[in-house]
Amino acid sequence: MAPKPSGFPAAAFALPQAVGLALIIAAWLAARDDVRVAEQLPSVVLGVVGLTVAAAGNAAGLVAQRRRLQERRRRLEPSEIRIPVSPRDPAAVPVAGATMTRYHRPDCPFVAGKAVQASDTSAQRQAGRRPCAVCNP
Amino acid sequence: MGFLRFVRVQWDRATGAACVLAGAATLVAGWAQVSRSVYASQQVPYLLSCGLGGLFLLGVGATLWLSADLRDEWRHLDGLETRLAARVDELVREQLAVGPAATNESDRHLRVRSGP
Repeated sequence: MAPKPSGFPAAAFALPQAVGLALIIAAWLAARDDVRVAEQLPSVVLGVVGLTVAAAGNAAGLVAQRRRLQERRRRLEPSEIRIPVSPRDPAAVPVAGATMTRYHRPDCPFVAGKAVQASDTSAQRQAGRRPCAVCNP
Repeated sequence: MGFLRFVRVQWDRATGAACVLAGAATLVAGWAQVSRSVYASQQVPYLLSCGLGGLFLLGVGATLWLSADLRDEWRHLDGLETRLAARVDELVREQLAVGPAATNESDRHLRVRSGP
């Protein structure tokens, strides 16, 4: 199930709570009409099972939320992020693949290893392509 | 911050606090009922409804409160990522405007500190 944007798995949290509460209520309903303690003991066990299910759901929800938070924090953790920026070469002819909607500088990471053809900017625009927002050809 | 505004903005903490208070009240009510009952078979239903029910509410309340703390941190990371992305865009634009100044591999990267 997809987590909410806050990272809180609401469904994963709510389901065990509902099950646990239903078991506790069922145990209470079953026990209130019995007059002997020995007959009530299975209901007590059922109630404890319900409480355990709910507690396990609480713990699982918090652990899942905490894990998602740690993953996000880890992505931001490096103290230095290296952003490849090649020097602009005015003589470089833009390149693009046949099915691409944008044209790029030849050293743009988006065209690395792809089959592209070079043609000048006006030809790229006539082909309906726009400049890449990353390499800014 | 007024009470209603607190409830609207911090609904998770408000719900958590309400659950904890309700759980404590349920436990006290259960104890009172059990202490008035003579027979053990009369006490068991109170143990199940008020005892386990009170513990259930305490657990839900504590979980909601702890989850609210984690969500605060999640929103804090949202802000950090947004600011970092804006700063990276700004640096890339500046670098592209400078032109062909880089001469070696180490100059072909912008370095952005993501820490505080």
